[in-house]
Amino acid sequence: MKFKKYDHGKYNLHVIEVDTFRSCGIEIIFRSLFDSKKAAAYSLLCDILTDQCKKYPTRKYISRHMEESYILDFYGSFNINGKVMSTSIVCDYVDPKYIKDKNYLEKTVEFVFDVITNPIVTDNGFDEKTFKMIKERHIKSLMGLDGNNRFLSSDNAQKNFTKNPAIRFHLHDMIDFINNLTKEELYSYYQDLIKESSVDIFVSGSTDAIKVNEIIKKYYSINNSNYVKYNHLTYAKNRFIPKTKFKKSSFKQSSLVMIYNVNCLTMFEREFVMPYYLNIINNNGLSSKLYQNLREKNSLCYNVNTTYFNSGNYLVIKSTLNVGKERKAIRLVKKAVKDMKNNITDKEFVGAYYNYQSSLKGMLDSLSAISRLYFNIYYGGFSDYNTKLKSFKKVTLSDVYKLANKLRLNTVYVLKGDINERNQD
Amino acid sequence: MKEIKINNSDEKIYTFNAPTKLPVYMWVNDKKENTYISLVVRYGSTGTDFKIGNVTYNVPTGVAHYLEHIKFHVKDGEISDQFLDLGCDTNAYTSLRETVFEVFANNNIYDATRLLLNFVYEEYFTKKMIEDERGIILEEANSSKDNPSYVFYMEYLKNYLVNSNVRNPVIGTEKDIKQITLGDIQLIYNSFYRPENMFMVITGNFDPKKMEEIICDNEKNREFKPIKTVKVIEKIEKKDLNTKKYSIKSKACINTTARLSFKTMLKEFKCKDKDTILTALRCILSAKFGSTSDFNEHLLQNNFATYFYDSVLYDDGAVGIDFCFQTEEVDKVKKLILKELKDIKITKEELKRIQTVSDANFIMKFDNIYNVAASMITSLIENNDPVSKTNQIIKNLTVEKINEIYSHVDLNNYMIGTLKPEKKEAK
Repeated sequence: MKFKKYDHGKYNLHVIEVDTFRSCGIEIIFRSLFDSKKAAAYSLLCDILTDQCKKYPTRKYISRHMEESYILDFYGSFNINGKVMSTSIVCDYVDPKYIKDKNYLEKTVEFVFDVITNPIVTDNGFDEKTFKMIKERHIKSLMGLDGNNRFLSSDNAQKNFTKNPAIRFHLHDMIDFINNLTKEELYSYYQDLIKESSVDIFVSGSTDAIKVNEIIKKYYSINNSNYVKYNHLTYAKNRFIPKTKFKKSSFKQSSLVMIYNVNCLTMFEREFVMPYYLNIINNNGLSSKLYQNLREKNSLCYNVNTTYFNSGNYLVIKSTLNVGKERKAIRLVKKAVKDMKNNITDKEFVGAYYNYQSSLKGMLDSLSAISRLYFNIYYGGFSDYNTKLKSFKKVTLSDVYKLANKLRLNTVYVLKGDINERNQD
Repeated sequence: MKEIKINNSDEKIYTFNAPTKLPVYMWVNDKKENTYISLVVRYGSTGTDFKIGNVTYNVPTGVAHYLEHIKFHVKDGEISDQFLDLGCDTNAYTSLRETVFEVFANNNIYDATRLLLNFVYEEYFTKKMIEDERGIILEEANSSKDNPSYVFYMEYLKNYLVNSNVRNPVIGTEKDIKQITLGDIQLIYNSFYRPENMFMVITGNFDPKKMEEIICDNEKNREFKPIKTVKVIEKIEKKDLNTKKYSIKSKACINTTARLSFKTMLKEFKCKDKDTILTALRCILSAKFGSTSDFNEHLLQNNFATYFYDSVLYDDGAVGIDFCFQTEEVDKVKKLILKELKDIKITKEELKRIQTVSDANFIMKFDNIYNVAASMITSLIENNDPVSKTNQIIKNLTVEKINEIYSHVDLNNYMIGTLKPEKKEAK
């Protein structure tokens, strides 16, 4: 596995050479600082830009080209990481060595840039039919979240957790904005995306970095401004007294979300101690503290999840529960979090080490996981694979206790299920 | 140890029988970091009625899944703890025809294989264990009830299938889950968790010879009490549909979804090879209704539907063609599909594209050890052969063959279902 970076002023090309896969990937990432309106528009652009262009006027023609050209997947994706938003166009294709056409790689790169830079535009607006179709699809998909208990509880918990616009934001907040957006306005957002973003191109797989660099240079046609490297990190304020909110719903299960601020972590803690914490509290499966407390000893739930948001410095614990058992579940989560401060067994600690080591090795069998590993090195300042393996051994039990003491409960949100609905079955 | 060559590739599968007669299938890739080890029981949620010798038994739906849960509790705690000590991860799942216990390992692969065999073959069940697990399984069952798409799918199965046990949820209903006893668990375990009814699939980076030695050594002294022949009673499906039209409402549903389902019996096709029939139908539907088709484009670009997909299903003798779409104009889309279905024929150009996609997917399959194992397990359950034939079938198909197979689909035997939003009270 080798990483090579080519700085081209306006954009950076990152080549991840790894020869254990039969697929390759190109990902073009446009990055800029968070802005709610741009976020909504850029998420629409992910679809518009992969559904049509002058050469392939509808998704049908793009799909036909993909099928004929051994392109496995071609899509756009949008995400917010701390205070930075990323709009990506991704193309996965078969390793050129399996394809007879000697120009296969070049043709694939050409296709990707063609689609991004040559959308169908009339009178400064996107193609009417495609625009309407995609807008309708997005609105329906976002409205559909109103029926999803997991989304509603998470989103409401985030809104109660912080006023930080980047952390509390969800595209669901922008349904009215999307509804009122015109094809001309969206085209204007497209021009912003192209001009104002910092562009990174990642090419991964069994590939020759020098050749890829030459091909990308030949076809790079994005007229963006110069490259800026952004800092993702942002924070939500602590609360002295945690906010607890219960809301009634007509769902058959209750959804519990508990959000903790994680304050002042060092880089060592973020990268090496936090995985121990997550493994011991939740990710070691049925033997972890949360599974033991909530599921195995009290049969309150089937699943419980814990996620640490590095860029926002907070940690979220979520579960869906038996109606009427919410307060008991909150007590048990608090107990697990408290136990993390001073009550970790050697077995749990060693188990966390093995689990992390195993999942790190496991990543090497996934091309997308290797790419994510590299994104974290480049964007997040994290260590490479070998340093990770070595440094992870240096973590001590007292490091985990120290980290556990940096957690502060901020918000408890319960979307309470309806016992009558549950009894209807 | 024998080798089975996989057509159109340099890949091969190693196979041998353990001393207990447990068949083992292995695919090796020394470029991978991980190994996937699975022990598969040929028993899933549909096996509620079975015979041992001449005696017939019936158990509640959901026993297979309940047993899968219970199996993780061993005399000295949780088996997952012991796998964790080896630096491995373990899981299990139950489907319609099989229960799979699996280990993901990049350390201690051979110890993990021994542990997998030893824990699955150890009979240890208590009443307390059964009672403690019930609440967890009920919560698992309840979590899908808040998902309107799942509720709609189950309603479709209930109306589409008359006889087949596929119509029942794998996990069982709340009533089933509450009924399951220690006796049911022991009966299923002793009848089906036997090497003649199981197989192992191992994929990834390991030494196949060493693996054979380890398994043979581990299994050489294992004994099973002889029992009479065990046979699941197959429930052959009928051509009837339970209804022509069904509708459900859900407070959790925001957008209307519809499902148009056609049912033809396998015996109505002239071609007698089930896999060829299903593959041919998948090809023609993909060409005529998939993302490359004019029909799909017409539907989406005119906002008649926001989502639209097709599928071909097979359940106990019934071949189903199914269209699922999100729409505000159910009747209009239904009419458009019916009209389109009347006179479709796949072209050479369309078939060529499908063959190219199939080749790309075939190449890619070997990138992922889990995908290789999943394909082997499915193929062993369905055809008792570890090598999936799909890519070869697609290579051999002609437009004439596909169109001939399609001509036997009964376009008059269909039903339409809708999932609609129910007005909510204030949340």
